[in-house]
Amino acid sequence: MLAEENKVFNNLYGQNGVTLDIAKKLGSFADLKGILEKGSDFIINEMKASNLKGRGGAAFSVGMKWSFISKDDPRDRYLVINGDEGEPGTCKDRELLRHEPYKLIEGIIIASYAIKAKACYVYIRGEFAEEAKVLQKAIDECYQDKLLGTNCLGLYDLDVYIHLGAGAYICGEETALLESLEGRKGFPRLKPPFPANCGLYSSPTVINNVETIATVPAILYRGAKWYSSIGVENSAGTKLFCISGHVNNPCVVEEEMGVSLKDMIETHARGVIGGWDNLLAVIPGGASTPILPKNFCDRLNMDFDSLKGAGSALGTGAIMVFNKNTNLLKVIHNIVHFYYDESCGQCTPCREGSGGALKLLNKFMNNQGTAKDIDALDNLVGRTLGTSICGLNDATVFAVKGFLKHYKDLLLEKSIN
Amino acid sequence: MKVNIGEPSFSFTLNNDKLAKEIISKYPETQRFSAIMPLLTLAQKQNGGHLNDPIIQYLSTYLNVSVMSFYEVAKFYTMYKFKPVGKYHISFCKSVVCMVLDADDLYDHCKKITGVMGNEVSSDGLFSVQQVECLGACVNAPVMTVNNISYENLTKISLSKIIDDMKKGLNMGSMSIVQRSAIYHVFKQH
Repeated sequence: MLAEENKVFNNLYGQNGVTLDIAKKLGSFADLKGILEKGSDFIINEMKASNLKGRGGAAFSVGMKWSFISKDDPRDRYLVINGDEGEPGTCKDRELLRHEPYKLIEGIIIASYAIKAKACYVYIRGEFAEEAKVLQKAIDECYQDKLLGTNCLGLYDLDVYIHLGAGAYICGEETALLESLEGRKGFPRLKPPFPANCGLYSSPTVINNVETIATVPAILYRGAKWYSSIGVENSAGTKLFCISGHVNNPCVVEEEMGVSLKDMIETHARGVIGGWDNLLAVIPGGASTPILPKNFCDRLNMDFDSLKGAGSALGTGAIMVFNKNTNLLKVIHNIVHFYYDESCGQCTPCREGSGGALKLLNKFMNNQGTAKDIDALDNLVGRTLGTSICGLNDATVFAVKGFLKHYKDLLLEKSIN
Repeated sequence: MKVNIGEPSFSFTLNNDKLAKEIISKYPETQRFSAIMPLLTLAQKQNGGHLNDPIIQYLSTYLNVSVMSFYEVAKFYTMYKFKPVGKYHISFCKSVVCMVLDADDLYDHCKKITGVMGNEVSSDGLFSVQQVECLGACVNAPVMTVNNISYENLTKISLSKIIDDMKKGLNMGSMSIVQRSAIYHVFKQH
């Protein structure tokens, strides 16, 4: 498990207080100038070497993403931070916005410098109004301290703005987020062109998750070697995990990649309610990742490859724990209802497919489902995979497929013929 | 655009006019559309929690962006309301983690003690209650927000006390997270 000195977030719960002075005492902005003076190429190469992958769910190499911004493009460049956290089970960015805003800001400064952006927009979901206030206060302090604004440290100009969403899960998809930031409804865009070439206001844009950017300063202060030495092969570094549901102490906790799921639940979350043997199933990475029954969880490690091997995914690191009191039919019904509600309606397979899946599950909820309906559900999700502009429909598909793989019997038992 | 008779006209207060200009200045001059969402949010807040046609008309002129562009946005995002809400607008999370921790029971309890029927505002004008998708506070489930301020780790006891204090007219909106936590035990101590 993660040694205390290897933690990136030393104020994750706000235990030391949340002000710029305190953040500085805890190491923030200690040698920002020194890092920036090493230059854009150094920073991007260091990020590549650290093997940090995006923490918002898609897990794309961060250094690689930054390197896609053309060096001699005359257009303005933008950094956009994705704080539209809403995948059920996930609440890590909220903790960072509340208690570690200065690490986010320092990461924003470094990333903006690396891609030569003069403006950064932080898109925060509308429900996080209080968290946005905390971040705004931190931004104001940084302006006063000349860490933001014009000619900062004699090296850069940078403005940071918060843009609040207004209740649409789809805006967590990066191109929908850009649409929303540009003042339109959150319809994902076709790719290509990719944001690195044609993003916010048709300009070169990097979009990264809050946790990703807040991790950047630690990597540059302590070195890519240090960061990549934590974790396991292909899954470097540390990660915030949100352990929720039927555990004695639900929590957000920083752990090394590849940590044992059982150890983490037993230690940080003080165990499953009713004990480990009372565990029924776990959804390991947010609502869209396939559910895993207990026998998978007994010896499961939390990294990209292990979870893929078990037929699920790390996703956002949101571990939802269900004990034997749980009605899993209600769980999958709830999840499909979520995606049905949150489909933006742009693509037919997603809009109609999620509604169709929900209708079939409704029949089982009302004890009117048949064996034919199970086949219809299987058929429906099988045919709609990969048929929409963004991944929202695939999220529904993965969730339902995972359920059918392990819990088809639950539906069969409920079938009326 | 025809303005419905009976709906009072709208204009920003002096302070909100200042805020609106600050909002617009956050975006490049050629990108006025970006201010649509924050202006809708600001106007909705000034109007006590909901939008109407005269407000959209006003904002359209204010920002020099078509009325349709405003409607398209206002009707897409769930936090914009076109029907009046209570002085305290309560949103209960109904997504999966809150659900398995019995949020539905709390929602029913809340409707009972606030006297809210269906999607209506309670007869005293104080409360409206709705269920929403994931509020993003799953390790503190069950969760609700009241006028966008969150209350977490809810139980029937804490919920009843919160509603009681609102009925008494306590200004909960001005309380910090720490204060709310101390009074209602709605946040976990680490």
